[in-house]
Amino acid sequence: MKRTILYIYLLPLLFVASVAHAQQELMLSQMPDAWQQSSLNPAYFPKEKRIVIGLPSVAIDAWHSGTLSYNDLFRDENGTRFFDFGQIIEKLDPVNEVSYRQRIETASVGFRLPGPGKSAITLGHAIRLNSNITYTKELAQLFWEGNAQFIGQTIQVAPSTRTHDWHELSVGFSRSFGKLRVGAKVKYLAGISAFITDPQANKMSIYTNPDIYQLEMSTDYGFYSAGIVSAIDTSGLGFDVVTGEFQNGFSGANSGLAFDLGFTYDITDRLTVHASAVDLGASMRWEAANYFHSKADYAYNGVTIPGSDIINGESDLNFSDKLDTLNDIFQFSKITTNFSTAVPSRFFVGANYAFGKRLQVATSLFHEQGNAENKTSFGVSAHFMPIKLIGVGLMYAVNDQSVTNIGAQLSLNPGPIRFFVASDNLGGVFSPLKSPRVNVRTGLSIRI
Amino acid sequence: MKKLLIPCLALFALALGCNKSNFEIPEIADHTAEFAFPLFNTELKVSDLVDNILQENTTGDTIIVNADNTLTLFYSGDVTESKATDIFQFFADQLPLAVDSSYFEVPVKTPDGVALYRADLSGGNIFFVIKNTMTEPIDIRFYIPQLSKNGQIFEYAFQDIPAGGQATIPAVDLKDWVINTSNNLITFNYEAFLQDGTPILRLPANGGIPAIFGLMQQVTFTYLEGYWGKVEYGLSTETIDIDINQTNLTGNVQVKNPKVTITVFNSFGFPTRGLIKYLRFVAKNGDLLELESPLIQAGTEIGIDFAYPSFAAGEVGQTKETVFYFDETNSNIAEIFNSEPVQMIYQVNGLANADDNQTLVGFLTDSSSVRMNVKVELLLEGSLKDFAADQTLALDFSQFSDADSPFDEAEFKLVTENTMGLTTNLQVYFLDVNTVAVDSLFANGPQDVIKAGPIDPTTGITTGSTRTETFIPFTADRFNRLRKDAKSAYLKTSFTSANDGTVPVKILANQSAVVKMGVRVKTKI
Repeated sequence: MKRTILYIYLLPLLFVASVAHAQQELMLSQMPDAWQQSSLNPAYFPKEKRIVIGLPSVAIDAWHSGTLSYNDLFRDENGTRFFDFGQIIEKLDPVNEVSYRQRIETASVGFRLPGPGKSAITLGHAIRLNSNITYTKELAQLFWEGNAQFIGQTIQVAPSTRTHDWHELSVGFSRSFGKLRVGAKVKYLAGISAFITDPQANKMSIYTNPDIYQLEMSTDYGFYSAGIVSAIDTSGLGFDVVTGEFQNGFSGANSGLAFDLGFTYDITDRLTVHASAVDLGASMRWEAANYFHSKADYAYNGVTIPGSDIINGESDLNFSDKLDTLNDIFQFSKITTNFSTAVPSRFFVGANYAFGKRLQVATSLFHEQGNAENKTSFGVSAHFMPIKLIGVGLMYAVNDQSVTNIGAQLSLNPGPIRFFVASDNLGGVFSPLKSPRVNVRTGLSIRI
Repeated sequence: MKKLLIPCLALFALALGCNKSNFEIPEIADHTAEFAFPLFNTELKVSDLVDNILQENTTGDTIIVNADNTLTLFYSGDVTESKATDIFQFFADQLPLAVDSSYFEVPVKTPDGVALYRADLSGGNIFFVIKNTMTEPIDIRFYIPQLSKNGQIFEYAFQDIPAGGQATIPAVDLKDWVINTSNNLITFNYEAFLQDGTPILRLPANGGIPAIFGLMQQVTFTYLEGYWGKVEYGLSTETIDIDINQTNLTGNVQVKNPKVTITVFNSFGFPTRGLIKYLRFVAKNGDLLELESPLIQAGTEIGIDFAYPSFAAGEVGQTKETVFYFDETNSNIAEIFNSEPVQMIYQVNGLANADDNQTLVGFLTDSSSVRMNVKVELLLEGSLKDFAADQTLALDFSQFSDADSPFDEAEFKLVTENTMGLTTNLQVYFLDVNTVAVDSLFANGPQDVIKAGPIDPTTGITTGSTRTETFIPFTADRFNRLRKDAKSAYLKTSFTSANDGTVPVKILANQSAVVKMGVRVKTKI
């Protein structure tokens, strides 16, 4: 069961493809009056509303470097679907990155304080997951096609990952000062689990000697684990990864704080500018976690048979004793340690211009900082509300990898209820399995 | 137009969004992967082979690592020992002594041509009965001057033996008694007197029976000294098996410098010449091949003079060693060994005092012997051409009965690194239940799987290692066929020395052959 849960975590990271490189949520930042915008800018509070209840909503942002889609992994033959990893190997880059970010907002509420309504308080809870996996094309080739193609070559197969999920409890406050509205939010982060490879120990190479294909392996590979891998059992012939109990509640031991800051400024009745910084200082410290480290050089030369045994006609040549040594390849050691994980900070700057009650144009600039590689994207959108019940929008966006990203949003507004679905990538919404990227955001709220 | 825009966009979006997706659990697609990994490695050392030969040898054959790491193989027969006491018969088992006069001579029993001067006795006994055949009492003294112990001769005296009475000399243990004689004779003497002092020259016989009679029996010695004349006697006849090629297959073995070494340990105290009556080999086809040498001349006294301990030099008790050999310089042995003999038969006789020295004084002790060891000595240097060995192994592939084997095909890679000067050619035939070949390991015929190391033709010693790579492909179909039909494997191996068997090579103890194998396996997953 533990392993199944582990796969549920990891497999989507391999299967989902996109060209985006961060949970940018450009469309959400440009949408008119979406309560979930408060997750991007704490100053936001719907105008002329006193109470807002946020119902469960989901944001998923997944991508894979290159041009792979989910369907590239499968083919149908006589009505049966086959998993065929071989179809994508040629499309892989020498080094590939998979990212999966998920935000499940379980509930939130916002209300204006009694009085003139200039001040508002928000409360919210979300479960967030950030995961990045980097792997080499050689690892995929080794896994699917075997090592014979690498005879005489040293290949690097060490994958790296930063995967962690956590609870987020937030308390926000915003207040208007004339045309300016500022807001701040404090977020308490409670870690659930983490699996982080050690960037200082991220080497795992395999050399297949052209002589008689002796295998030489060298490892300097370490990873931190909290709540996932609790032990690696190399006794006997097995290589068993023992998983720990996944945490579904607040562990209390693994916690941290984060801050959101933002403002909106109504330059005119039609033109509003806004800026925000979210997840400032977001980090969690994981207590009493495990650190596994493998630093070994191992050579497998086949079974060494003493020549004297052959000459003596020895009939009891013991092969199994030699095979036992395979267990010694990795020689993982385990220590208990503490470590920290950080959540990248995101920054938004944008403007909205309303041509009337039904048409609005918007733009925003997004920047993420905190990972090894910073990300920036820019989008321009138009939003049209033909009737009060329905709103639609289209967005053109440019990011680090593509200049042809088309986003869209559809919102429904029956009475106090507001539901929307938005994406920074239109193709990914309607055909996520064929699309090279998936970015989708839903929102449901009741505004009074 | 505006009114249609939104519904059209909505329908378009729904149409795209309602694409059916198959989320059933997929099966893993068939695909082929190819894995390469090592199987085994080993090093066959000549030194291990030598150790094995030495441990398992029960026939006296042995192999010696020389100081320069060359190897010498010895085929050895039993050490034959010819004891002097078996060859030379001294003293009769029983010697009746009828002393019919006061001076009675008896010759010592010796082999032909041998005259005894001295004998140190280690056993036996002698006794006498003296009967008074006179009519009145007598006194008598009986003695043997050649027989003494601690300087005292053998002597007994009896007084007043009544007429018709008798006196007895009980059985005397002859241990530590010494016989000293100058002419191979022992004399028995007595002096008898009547009571009035009248001497009796001869006691009369009684009814034909001498008045004094006795018996000397079971006499043994520790030392004999005397004159050894020229006499021939048998020493050793032996057969030695020589299994250079234990197979029935053809092969051309050219052994360089074979040698038959005869070692003699001689403690006979007189000159002995070894006469090799014959030394012949039995060829593989049963033919007898005579060793021809100037030292082997049937019907003559030509032979090899054994070293011996000299009486004159005071070397009593010593053993002298003589080593002589037949090689290509003094015989036709090289020619004989090129025909791969399987047995050697020889007979050696001894010829004492071959020069017929009439003044020769020699000796023997009770432990004197001639021990002889004959060895066939082969320095492991020679040339081979298609020297073959074969072996049949039972096969049982029943454990691989799964017809759905994931293996599609495999290619075994056999690598050898050989510092020996021999090339090994191998083919394996897979035989069915009727011993009919259904397949062979190498489709293109036997392969040189271990090639000889580079050789210095002037020394016959390899100067490095030769690496040989042999690839052996196997498809799943081929393996399935063997799995069903093959019941045994016939391994046919042949060895050829460097340069196609034309150059003699040395096999050194520090040489070896590394044999290792890996495999590339294509699997259907």
